[in-house]
Amino acid sequence: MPPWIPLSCCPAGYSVRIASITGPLAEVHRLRELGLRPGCRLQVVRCGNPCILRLDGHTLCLRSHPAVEVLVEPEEPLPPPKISPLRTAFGSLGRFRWRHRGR
Amino acid sequence: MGPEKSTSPLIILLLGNPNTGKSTLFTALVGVHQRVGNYPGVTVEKKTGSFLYQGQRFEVVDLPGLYSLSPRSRDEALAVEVLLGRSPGTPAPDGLILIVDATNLERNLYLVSQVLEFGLPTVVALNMFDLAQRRGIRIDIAELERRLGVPVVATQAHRRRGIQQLQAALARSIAQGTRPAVSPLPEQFWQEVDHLAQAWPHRQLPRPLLARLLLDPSGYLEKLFLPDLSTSEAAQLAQTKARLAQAGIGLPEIEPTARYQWIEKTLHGLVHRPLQEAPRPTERIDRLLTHPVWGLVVFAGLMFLVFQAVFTWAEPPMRWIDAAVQWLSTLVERSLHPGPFRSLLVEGVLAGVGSVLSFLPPILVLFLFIGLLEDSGYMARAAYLMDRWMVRVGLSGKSFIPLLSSFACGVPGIMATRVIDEERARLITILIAPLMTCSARLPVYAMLIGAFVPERTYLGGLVHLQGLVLAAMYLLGILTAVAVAWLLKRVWFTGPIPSFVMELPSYKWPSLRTVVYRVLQRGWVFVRYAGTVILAVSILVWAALYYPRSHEVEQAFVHQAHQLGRQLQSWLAQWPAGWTAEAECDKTVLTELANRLVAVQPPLEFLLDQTQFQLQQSIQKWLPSPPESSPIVQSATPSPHLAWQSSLQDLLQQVETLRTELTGAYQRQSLFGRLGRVLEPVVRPLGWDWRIGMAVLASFPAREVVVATLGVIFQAGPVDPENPEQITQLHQRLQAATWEGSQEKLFNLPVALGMMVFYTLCAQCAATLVTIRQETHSWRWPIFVFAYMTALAYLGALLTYQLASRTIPL
Repeated sequence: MPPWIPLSCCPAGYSVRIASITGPLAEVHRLRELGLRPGCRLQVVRCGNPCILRLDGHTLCLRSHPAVEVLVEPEEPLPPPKISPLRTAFGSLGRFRWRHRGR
Repeated sequence: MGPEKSTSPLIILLLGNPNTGKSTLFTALVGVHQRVGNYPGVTVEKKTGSFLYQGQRFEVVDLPGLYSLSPRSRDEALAVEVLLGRSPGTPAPDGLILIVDATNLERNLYLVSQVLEFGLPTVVALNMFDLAQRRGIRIDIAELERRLGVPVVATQAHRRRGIQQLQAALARSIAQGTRPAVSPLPEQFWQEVDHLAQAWPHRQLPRPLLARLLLDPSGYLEKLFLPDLSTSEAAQLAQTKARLAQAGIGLPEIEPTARYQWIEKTLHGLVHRPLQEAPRPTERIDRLLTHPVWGLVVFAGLMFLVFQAVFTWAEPPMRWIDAAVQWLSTLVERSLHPGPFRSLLVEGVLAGVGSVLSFLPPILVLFLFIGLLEDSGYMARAAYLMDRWMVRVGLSGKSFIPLLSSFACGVPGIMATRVIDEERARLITILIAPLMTCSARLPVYAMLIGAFVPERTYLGGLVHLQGLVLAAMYLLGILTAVAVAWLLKRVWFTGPIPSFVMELPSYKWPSLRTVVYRVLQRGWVFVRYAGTVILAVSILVWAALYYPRSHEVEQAFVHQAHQLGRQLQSWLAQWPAGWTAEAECDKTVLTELANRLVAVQPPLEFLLDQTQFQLQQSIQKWLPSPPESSPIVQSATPSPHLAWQSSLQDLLQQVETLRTELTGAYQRQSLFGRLGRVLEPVVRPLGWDWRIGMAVLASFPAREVVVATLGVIFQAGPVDPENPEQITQLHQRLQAATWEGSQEKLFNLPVALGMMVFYTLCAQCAATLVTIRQETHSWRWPIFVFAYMTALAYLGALLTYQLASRTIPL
């Protein structure tokens, strides 16, 4: 079974199954009410945060609360993540740390 | 249809998810006669309309689209209130129409399952049935009806298909009365609900409400329905939740789990989707429009086109409106005696109405484009593209449409913030929307740029300095808005940003009828809201510029008036013989006026007005082209006569100058004139004198008023901003204006730049402030907006003036 990965890391064009959603109660509740429930199948149209997902034949734009983690199980093996040469050159000093601060 | 029965109308609620064609269905049901109002205490639009079916009137109330009955804000809690008939002003519903999207039954049935628990007579409208069929989705309606236990009607709201059947099913369903409530929630949960109902008999809370109270994750319902909850009752509530949790029924998780299980069971074997969904033709377009780079390029191009269209299309109607108002003012001026009433009509009412109406064309054009982009499905993509940038300053992707509307006018922009479901992003959007350069600022920029920014071009005539300054003002507004939003997010609205979910509707050709209808509706709301406020404040400002009024001011003009009378008399003395009867009649009137001028018969105001009017009439009627019989034409040497004729023009000009000087003198002693002089030390550092200060004060109802006020103060005569001749005259007057009692020029480039910066940043718009009050339900926010924007405007103008006057050589 392929490992679970965060939805925000899933590249565009892949189909995944939601494995679990964790985070603040009200936020998770809202997502589940909208149909983002464990076990449901969705397709990532545009990755990142916000991302575009196709779910039950409909297209949704989702920007999740910073504490919400949507873990998904890819239905097919994902390609190895592309690492830009710039990021390798600067290690974790560059954009990576910026991205994960604040917001 | 038989005659209407005397029974009272049945109240029907229309509920459904967003993007299911709910508004279209509503219009298809009730026609165009809809009433738009507000629910008390919330910023939710209340749309109602009615239809007649077999002699019975049905009153349909359209609730805003929602995904679930669990509220995330006070506005969303409204749906539960209305369903239970507990919203003041909306009677308890007799029946429900639930609209669901046939292409996405899974999610749509979630709300259906919640609403079915209320046990009200319900009909499900299976909308967009045609689209589902085209996508190869087959739905067994009869079986769905059996499993849901309520009538299901396939509809195509945009083609008005299935409406009759829907009405029939509704009437039948109501005739059958209440039906047993079905619920997928476990039996134990309902037992606990019944326990609570027994424990709190005095509260008279219906079962579905108690269930919703238990399932509510946000606490909004508790605040709304149990504001006086005692500690023992709160403990009881907590105990109930704990007991349920022990039994493996976690609240509120049980709700989505149980409901989606029920949905799966209900739809099992009912809905047949094609195994491989055919790729939609719009997918390629979507890939381009949501691309992080190309999407933004297309977006920028579209926005450029929209603005271009707003400027070019809105200009001619704005000119017509101005001309019409001008014509009406002249008519009133000619037919009424001068005095407070006429002045009120012309300078208060007509000026106010004029400014409201002249804002209308750009607003309508912008709304047309927004409507087209919304209806085609593009706006949601634009919101997605903008979201990643806007979230950094505490906004949401949905803030984009209100901010775009604010470029036409802040009032509809602030009203449009209702689409933002996240409270904080909505508030920040409201607070920064007035910084967008609205159409009321343009006349101010046009006046100041035209008069003081030199006409220089760069890059071979491609870039104009004047255009550059205008663009800089737009940019200044946007950048300030970004900075303010960022600061608000950092200082005031801290904390994590809640999730944001937005549906991206499928692309379609916009329906012109829907768009035009929406444009007109929004335009009307603007006229009603902004119109009343601008009109009221215009009248107040008029009063502050008119009163206190004492005729003593006229003493200073007695000598000038006397001289003018003498000039007119001597002109009349050269009157040639044998003119037409009409001209002779004018002569009598003019002689009378000249005599009164020589005697300086008070009130001078009145006398000057009459003289001005009579001279204008005479010049227009017979001076430029004397009738054939006139001796002037036959005369061999017409030149002395021509000189005599044209001297009347000079006389008219002198009368007009005296008249505006008198108006200026009256304004000087008015309330605002005095206030302006008191405030002079404050505005002095900006390079302004008390007259500019007064003009700025007087422009409180609407910024563009400053153009007309400056015109009066600097005696350029009443200024029609659309008349190029008068505008050049105003430019010359402004350029020539000096400080009182000195030869130093009052206006120069630094002062003009400072004023423009002031008008970019200031909150000189009563309608916007009142709208903020309406949308936030508190005076706190409009006061905050006014305070911060005025402070910014003052500092900006100060900085600009002080820097510019030191760097720009005069």
